[in-house]
Amino acid sequence: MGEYDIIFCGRQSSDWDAGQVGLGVAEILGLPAVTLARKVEISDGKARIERVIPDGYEVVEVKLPAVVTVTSELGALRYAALKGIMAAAKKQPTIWKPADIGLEPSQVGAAGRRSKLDKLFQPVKEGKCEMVEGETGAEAGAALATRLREAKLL
Amino acid sequence: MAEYKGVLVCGELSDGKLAAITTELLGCGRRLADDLKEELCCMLASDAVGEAAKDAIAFGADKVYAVENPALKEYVADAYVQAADKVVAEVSPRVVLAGQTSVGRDLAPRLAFRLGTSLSTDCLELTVDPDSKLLTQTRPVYGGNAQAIFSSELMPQMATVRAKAMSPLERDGSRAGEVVAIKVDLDEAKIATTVQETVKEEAAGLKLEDAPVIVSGGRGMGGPDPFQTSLKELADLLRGAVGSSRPAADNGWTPEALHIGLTGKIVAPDIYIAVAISGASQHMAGCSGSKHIIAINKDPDANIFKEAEFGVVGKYEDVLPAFTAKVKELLAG
Repeated sequence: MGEYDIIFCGRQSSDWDAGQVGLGVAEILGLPAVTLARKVEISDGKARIERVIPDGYEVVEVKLPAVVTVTSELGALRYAALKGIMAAAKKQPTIWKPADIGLEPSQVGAAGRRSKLDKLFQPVKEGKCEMVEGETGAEAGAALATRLREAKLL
Repeated sequence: MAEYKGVLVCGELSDGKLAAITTELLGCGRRLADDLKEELCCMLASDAVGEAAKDAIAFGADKVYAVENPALKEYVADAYVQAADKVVAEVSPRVVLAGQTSVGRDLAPRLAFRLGTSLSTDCLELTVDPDSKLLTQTRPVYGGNAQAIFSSELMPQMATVRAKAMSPLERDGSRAGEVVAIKVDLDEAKIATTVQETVKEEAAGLKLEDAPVIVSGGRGMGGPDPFQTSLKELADLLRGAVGSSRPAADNGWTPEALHIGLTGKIVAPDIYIAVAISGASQHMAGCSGSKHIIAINKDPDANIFKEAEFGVVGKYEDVLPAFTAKVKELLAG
């Protein structure tokens, strides 16, 4: 549908938390992908990316075009300036329906799902917290230590 | 149509040894394979797999596919997806499991799309439906506020599994199994990424994931200092480690490596002491596997008290020093 050097995606959505969109796009387009980026620098048709790993980060170099998924460590959102807000109000976003990008109804929504949602539920919380009290915060703190010793946790 | 049979675990190595997540996947995979009355296989890829292959058998695998290639020395998505794709073609498994780890969450979606199948990520529970033999996949959604059960009719059935959600089997060196070396020709032209360097940022000392006790602080700590002083003092006393919630890490009070939660570390210590942490579901997603949760919070309605076993309502500045002093006294006596 257009030209691109880098396609940026988030790490995962806040509803289904699956973390698959960016990698799926990469696979469908036959592009390399680097996930969990916290810093991206471009030079000579390549991107140099700091990818977050459990005990630090690795520096990955990737040929462009590529898909990059980013983490929240990439940086905080900028505040929108009044001028920007005014300019944004005048711009019309392009909205595509499935047919506009060549998809059949059977390929989208529930009909196009590869897996079936059998059940959605909220796990029951037992809520059996034993509150340890005291006349003051300090007393309660000391009482907590004593209680944990009784419960053989210390 | 090819016949799909057995369970394949995509294993990971850590410093040349079988990673903890892989032993957990083998524990889960063994149960699924037994329910299906089929084989449990494990793929291990590296420049040299070595003794880890025998370890995988000791932890439950019937067959280990060892893929050795210099390009697989460290995890590079383009190379690993090729290797995994070829092993899946060779084994034709019914179920493919990977860890919800740095490697697995990068590899599994690519592999699933390449194979044209579906994938459930971050599963907490996996069972086999006795009638359909399909995998029933339970995973958290909406930041841990709810859980969803998925199934798919596409083959192979793929899932990634959350760290510490499954128990490994006891290591049994006498278990019999077979190690099969698989030669995979990697298409170097399709490897577009290279790892230039790896930088470790973890605080010195005990790794958070290995700590039996974690003392964790949240937004209510008010700044970076208590993480170095009062929380650290308690953690040291209990031979544990200090962790934090996401607001504390986002504010720069603690390094990101200490962030426990949905998008940070997932831990399951014996004792988790949450200080001035409200207990948002995103945080609990990272620590709800702890055996005993103890909470100190000034808000009696904080969600953390719904999750904790013992709690004290009070300002941490008042409660924590007295708690630490009493703990010290009890441990000394």
